[in-house]
Amino acid sequence: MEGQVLLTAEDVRLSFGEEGKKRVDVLRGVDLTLKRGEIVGLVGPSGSGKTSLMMVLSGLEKVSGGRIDVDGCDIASLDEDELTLFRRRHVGIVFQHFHLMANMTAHENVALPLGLLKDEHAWEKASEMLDTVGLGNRLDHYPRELSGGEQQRVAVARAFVGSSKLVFADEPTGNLDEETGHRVRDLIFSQAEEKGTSVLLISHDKDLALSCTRCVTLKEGKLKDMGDD
Amino acid sequence: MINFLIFRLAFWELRGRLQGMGIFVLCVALGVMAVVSVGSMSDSFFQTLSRDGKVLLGGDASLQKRGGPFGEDVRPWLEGEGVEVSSMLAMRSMMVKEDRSIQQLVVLHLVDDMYPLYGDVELEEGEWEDVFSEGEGGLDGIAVARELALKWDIEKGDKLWFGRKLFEVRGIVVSEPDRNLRFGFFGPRVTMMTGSLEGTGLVEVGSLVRYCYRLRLGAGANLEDFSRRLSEKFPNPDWDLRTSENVDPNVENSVELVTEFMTLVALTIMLIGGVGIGNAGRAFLGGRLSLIAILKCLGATRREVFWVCFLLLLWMSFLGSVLGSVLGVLLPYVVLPILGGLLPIEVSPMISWSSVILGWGLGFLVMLIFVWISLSLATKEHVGRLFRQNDGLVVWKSWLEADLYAKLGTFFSFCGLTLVVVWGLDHRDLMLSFLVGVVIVYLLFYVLGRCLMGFLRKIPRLKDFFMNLALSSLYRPGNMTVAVLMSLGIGLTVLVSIAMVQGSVLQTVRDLEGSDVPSFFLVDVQEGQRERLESLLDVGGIADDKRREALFSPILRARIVSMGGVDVEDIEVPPDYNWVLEGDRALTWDDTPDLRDDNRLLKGEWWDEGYEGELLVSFDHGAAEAFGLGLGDSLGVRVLGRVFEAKIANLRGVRWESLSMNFLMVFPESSFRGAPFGYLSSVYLPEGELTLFEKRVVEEMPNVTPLRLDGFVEQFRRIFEGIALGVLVMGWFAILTGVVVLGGVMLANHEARVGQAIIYKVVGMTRKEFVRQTLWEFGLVGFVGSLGSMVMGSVSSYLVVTFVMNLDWRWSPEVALYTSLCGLGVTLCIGIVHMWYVQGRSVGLLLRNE
Repeated sequence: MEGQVLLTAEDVRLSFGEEGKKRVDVLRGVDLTLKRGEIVGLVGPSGSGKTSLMMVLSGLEKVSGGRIDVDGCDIASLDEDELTLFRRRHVGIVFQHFHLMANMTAHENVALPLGLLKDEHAWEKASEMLDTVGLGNRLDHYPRELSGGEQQRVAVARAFVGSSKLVFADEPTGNLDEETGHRVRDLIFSQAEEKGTSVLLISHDKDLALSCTRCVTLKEGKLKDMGDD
Repeated sequence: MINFLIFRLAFWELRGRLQGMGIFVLCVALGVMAVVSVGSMSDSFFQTLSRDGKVLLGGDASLQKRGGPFGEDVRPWLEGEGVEVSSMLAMRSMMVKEDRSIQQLVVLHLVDDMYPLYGDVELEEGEWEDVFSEGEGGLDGIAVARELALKWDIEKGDKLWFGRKLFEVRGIVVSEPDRNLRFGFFGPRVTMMTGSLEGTGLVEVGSLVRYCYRLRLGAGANLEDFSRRLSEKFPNPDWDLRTSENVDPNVENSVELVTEFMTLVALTIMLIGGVGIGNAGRAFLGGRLSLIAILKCLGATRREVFWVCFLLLLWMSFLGSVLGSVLGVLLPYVVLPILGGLLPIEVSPMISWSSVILGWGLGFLVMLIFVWISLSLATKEHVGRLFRQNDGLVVWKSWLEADLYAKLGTFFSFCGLTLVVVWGLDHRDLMLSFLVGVVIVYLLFYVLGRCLMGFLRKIPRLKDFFMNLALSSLYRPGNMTVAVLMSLGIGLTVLVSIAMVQGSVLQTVRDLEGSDVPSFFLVDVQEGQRERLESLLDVGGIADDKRREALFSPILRARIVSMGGVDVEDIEVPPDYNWVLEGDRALTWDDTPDLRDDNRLLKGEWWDEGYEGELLVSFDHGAAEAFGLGLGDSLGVRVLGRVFEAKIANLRGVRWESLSMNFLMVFPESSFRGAPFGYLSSVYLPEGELTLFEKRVVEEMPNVTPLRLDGFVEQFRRIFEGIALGVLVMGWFAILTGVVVLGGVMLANHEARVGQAIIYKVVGMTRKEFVRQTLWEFGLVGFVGSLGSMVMGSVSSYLVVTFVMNLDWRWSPEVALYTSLCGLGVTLCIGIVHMWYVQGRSVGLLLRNE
């Protein structure tokens, strides 16, 4: 399976605002392919459209033009509910600001995607996953009772616990200190390797991006391989 | 001490961010508006009575009596005091058109040439003096009320029979000074000169006639001095004195009663608003935790931070009070003209400053009760924690974690509220019971919420994942379970309570309609008319199987002058039994009474047939209990000018609401032998024969006054439904406040819930699943709230109906059903609005703005 293309983005465009002066073209025809099990680092200056690209690739934002094929499915043509179901089955996301459910325990947060998949063993699998990320003793803790690093590990566990073939990690270490950041990065890499998951890792940190299988740069709404610079 | 910088900091904060203030201000405003508007309407009524008392009464004072004219010494004494006296009579009579085509029972209002002492009589055309001048045909003139003229198409020049005499209509009355508050009878009025009564045959011995002197005191005379001198000169009068400062106690009592109920509901609205103030205050402070943290970082003490926050809340409370006062003051100007037709007098709206002050005071105290805890929680937290957990949850922690000063502050604020309510409003006992009741209901809903959360926490995980999510969201941190139950539950409880009280009273009325209520009471039947009256029962031969009977009881009019040897002047009259001492009551005598369900012997023995001995009396048990009378106690009654002392021989349980012929006092047959008396008759007839019977009675016995009861029950129902509607509207207003409060609860949690909804979306929850989960969540809490309200509302209505109204309480399943649906409907609607709003937010935009 490794080496097969999982995601293909062709001429993806994203614009905000009306036609004319106020219109902002965030993505101006991005082409990207992601193979199964591949970890691709995405770097670029602030405002270059990294998060926007993650949003459209994960189906959180509708593209203005172009085509995104994930495992044979053109997600640009899906409606809101179909996109949601697509995310449920295929996508995990790790945010810079964690975005855990503040009123759910770590255990509940991780069990959530499994519950949506109607997995009968959701709670057991969530426990195991939290064990794997080193938080087996914090199952009943609420996010506010966890440190930033711990919260991000819960977010990583939530992203990898289901049947996701594709995980997007948007500045996963941006809010963490260097050491904690490295632990989270290692966790993502080890989970991706273990599960054969493709990862698009967005970061300001070139070192982090360079530790990925491949690294691409987004500049002025267009994507280039690092080697092109 | 607070310093100027604190004011400045609060001002800067207000200038910058008004977000989150709306619900807080609205909740204060609703409570203040309710209190101010009810107070203003009540004060407007009493102010109008006080200002226009002379015109409404028709004099500075009025003496009213039944059963015979005033003593011969009364008028000369009054005139000797420099008082101008206008003599009047009132009685019921049948008005018949000259060609006998119209018959209508009216109130005959007989006046002298002094009438009116105050104000003017306005006629459609012509002058008042011309009405009674000698006419061309030699007929006496009369003036007819406009509503009567419009109803029967009566015009000037028409001729009408009263008894055996024909009159000519010379005026159509548009307004009269004493039109609304009449003495004696209600109904359309025909005015004639007292002298014109001669030849009508309307007044016989024992006729139901009310006599009245309207008085105008001399210049500079003092009403209080005059009343004192009058009671000194006539120590045991057989009349009622009313003054322009006390125009109609019955109407005043009724208005007071309605005001009382409305005040209770207004207080409920204020307290429900309090929950909203509490929630909105928490949300407001929760949104300013970063401000608190920054101030603390910069070296502000906790006390200074507290004052900045308190000033912010105080400012919002001030805005709410201003808004509420303005609306509360304006409301009577809108409502009173609309209610005009339902009120006994035309009420001029006024601004009641005392109500405004009361509203502000209550609003301030309620605000204090509900914000102390959140102020404490918001300001006690360490800076680090405030920065680290900027989710606002700090202020939603349990009240147990607040400082002692905040708990004491809450307690003393509640004590202050209790003092203001108990001493600032009438009916202290009732107000105190109400406050205790509200606190109990609040506590019960709090406990219910906690129990529900505890129960949900304990139940094992369900198979249905979405149901699990819905149930667990009811006990997770930041849940709204208790807040929703408390804000919606208390309003629903009030509504259930009002509706069930209304249902019980209306059921009593319906029972009356279905029971054996007489068709007529005939007043003033003379001995020689009994036989003829019985023959009139066979009027049309319709429905021969129906009851057709006339029962007669001899009556004399009597006034109670002493109880247990104590003069009635010195007796404190129980509020529900003022009718016992007010004016004359009919007494009867009977050695072999017909003791029935509605007239049962409860204590003592009935005297033997043919009893001759010490004067005995059988008295109403309820009245005896109220006045503290028992068997063997004495009762002084004045009959035909003479005072008799009777010993209470037995007590009867009389069910007055049965409308059967019953008496307060029954004497042995030997008691008033030789006295001139009349009969009170209760007549039972099939429904289709009533009008014909009434017509024949009026034609043949002009002195007899028929009182038709078929319309009475209906009229009672209409009046009650009117009052109930007013209170019910206030009840719905309480629900509306609950909805606003709920809206506030939603808003307070809004950002957190939007955040949750977005994460749900990110991890793959579809809209349908989100809707299902939210509906389960809101539906369950709505259902529990409705159930709690149903139980608590039923219990409180049982207490009111059984112990305050002394009626049979009935549980209304339809009220229970409507309430459940209402509670569910409101919570689901709020849930749906919430979903609609949340679903409309762009996930990408929100995540990007993080």
